[in-house]
Amino acid sequence: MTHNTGPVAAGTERREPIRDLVRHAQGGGLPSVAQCLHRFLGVEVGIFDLDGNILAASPNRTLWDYDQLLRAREGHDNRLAVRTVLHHDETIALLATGATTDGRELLDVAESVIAMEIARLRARQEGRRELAATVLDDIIANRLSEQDSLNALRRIGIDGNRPMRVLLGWCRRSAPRRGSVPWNLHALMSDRPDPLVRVDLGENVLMVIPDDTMADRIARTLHQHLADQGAEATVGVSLPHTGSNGLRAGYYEAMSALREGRGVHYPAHVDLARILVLTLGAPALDEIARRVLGPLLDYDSTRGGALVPTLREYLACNRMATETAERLFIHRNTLRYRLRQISELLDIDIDSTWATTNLWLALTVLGEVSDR
Amino acid sequence: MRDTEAVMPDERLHRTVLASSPAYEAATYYEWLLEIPALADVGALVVAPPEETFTGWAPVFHVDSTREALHRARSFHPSVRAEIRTDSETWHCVTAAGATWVVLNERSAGEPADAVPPGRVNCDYSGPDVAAATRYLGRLLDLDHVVIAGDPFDMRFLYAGRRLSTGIFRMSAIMRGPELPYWIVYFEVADIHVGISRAVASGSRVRIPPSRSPFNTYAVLADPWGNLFGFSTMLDPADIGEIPAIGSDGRDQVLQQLVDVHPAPTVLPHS
Repeated sequence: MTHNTGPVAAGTERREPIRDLVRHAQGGGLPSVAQCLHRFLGVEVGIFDLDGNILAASPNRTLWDYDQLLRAREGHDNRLAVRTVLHHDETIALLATGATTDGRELLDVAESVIAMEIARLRARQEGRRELAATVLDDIIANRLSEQDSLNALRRIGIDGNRPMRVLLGWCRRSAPRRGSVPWNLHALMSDRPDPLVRVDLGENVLMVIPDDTMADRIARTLHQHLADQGAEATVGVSLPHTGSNGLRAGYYEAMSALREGRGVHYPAHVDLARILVLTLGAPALDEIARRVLGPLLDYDSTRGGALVPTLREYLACNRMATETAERLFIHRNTLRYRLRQISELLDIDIDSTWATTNLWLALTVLGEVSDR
Repeated sequence: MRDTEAVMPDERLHRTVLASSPAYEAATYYEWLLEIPALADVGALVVAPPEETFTGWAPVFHVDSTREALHRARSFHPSVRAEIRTDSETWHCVTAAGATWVVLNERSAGEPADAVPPGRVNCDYSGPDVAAATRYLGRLLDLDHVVIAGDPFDMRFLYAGRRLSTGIFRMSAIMRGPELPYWIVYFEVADIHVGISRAVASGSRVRIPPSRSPFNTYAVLADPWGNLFGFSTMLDPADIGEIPAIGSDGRDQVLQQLVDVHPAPTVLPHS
């Protein structure tokens, strides 16, 4: 650094470390950024992802306590200074330093430099991620033959001949996820593919993992990652499957389990009705379902009736009249009357296997079967 | 494939032990993480924490006699406070003021098949007073030491018979907590970045990012139960230059003149 005097010189002095910082980022990535900051500020520097993993540090054999770092972020520990690194208004990393009153401008620039570096790393792997997402989307949509599917899965690091599980994760965010938050920053920094395939599919996160002893732990870790990013985090886990048909079935199983609510959910049993609905596509089935239940829907809407809810509860209670009446807070005679109305309007024997199955599917399509 | 009968064990590094609860879950986790059928393949064992001793990974060192080891290090007032019993051995958990636990196994005739194969596991001791730790461990384990010249972490090694037994170094900083001494056990893997990705996806957390030393790339993590462990990938011997060192007699040395940095044969997990 130069040591000239005067305002021009002072401006020059301020720009030197900033120029150095940018040069270090270009030449050596996040580790060099951390080293540069450490050299100029004279305090320990750490760059973290949002799960508490340290990405770069200087001095590098510094042991950070992420929980203390979070306390410092909330203002409960003034021995550390924690800054949020934003990219497209989403938090993607944290920059921590030992307490210092110097270098505010430099740290402001460092936030941007770190964000740009992470974005650059992510862009470098964009092709690999897009390939994985395209392959999985094609398989789920049944656009590929079995052999083409297996070949495509192999290209993205999945052996489709071995049992695998599908994990589907979701959380409620305050703002729509723009897909700019990378999941595995360490894989990006090392320019390695993520050994556990993970892609964004709409608002969900999809993982395909080998079926082994760690499947549950990986699912719970995914859940924790999502919970750190938004409310009502939920993960659905499929049963183990092989092949492209198995992956497709696993996707819908995971989707079905995802709808069980917060937490990590496995299919307690195969819900064929729900899977059929998910697999075949809601819009076409919706029209059919409305036709099946039409007379009841019309009756309820024009007469203020409750035939559809009555039918739903009756089937949910396994056609046990006493329990159904209790759940509906009506007399058993009222229930019998309504069931007779339903049978007459639909012109079916409501207790036949065919009717029960068909009506249950129709109620599922219309979302009348609530998420339990 | 590895032939245990043809492999010489490390001179002092006998086994490694993880004191963690639940032990079975932790063992399963590490077997998955290291992609090995059994922890015994790398000379590791998981036990429930012995009462009022330690949790986490610790190396187990061979000594000819625990009593003689304690006598050698008597100026540090060490004592045996607990025992770990395996199927065939009894290990002594030794403690001394200012030091963390050291686990000793009295050497018996015949090396068990599940001792640490050379090149699969390494360990480091980190503490605020590196010189004192060197004296203590050197006497306790009857090992010579060598100091890496100009190392920013005051790195030194204990060794015997050209075999490195453990490293000793000072952490740059602890942000923000007490600077306690502790062990870090490193598992040799083919690619630490793959290991890190699997570890992070399964609930571990990176505590020291991938870094390069004169002879390996390493990283330190905390497993889902908070136990520190490390991954290491040794550099190709052709990429390791002469490492300047200072022997215990104060004379300038080259590390490779004193020890085998790459113990032969080196076996990687997927060999």
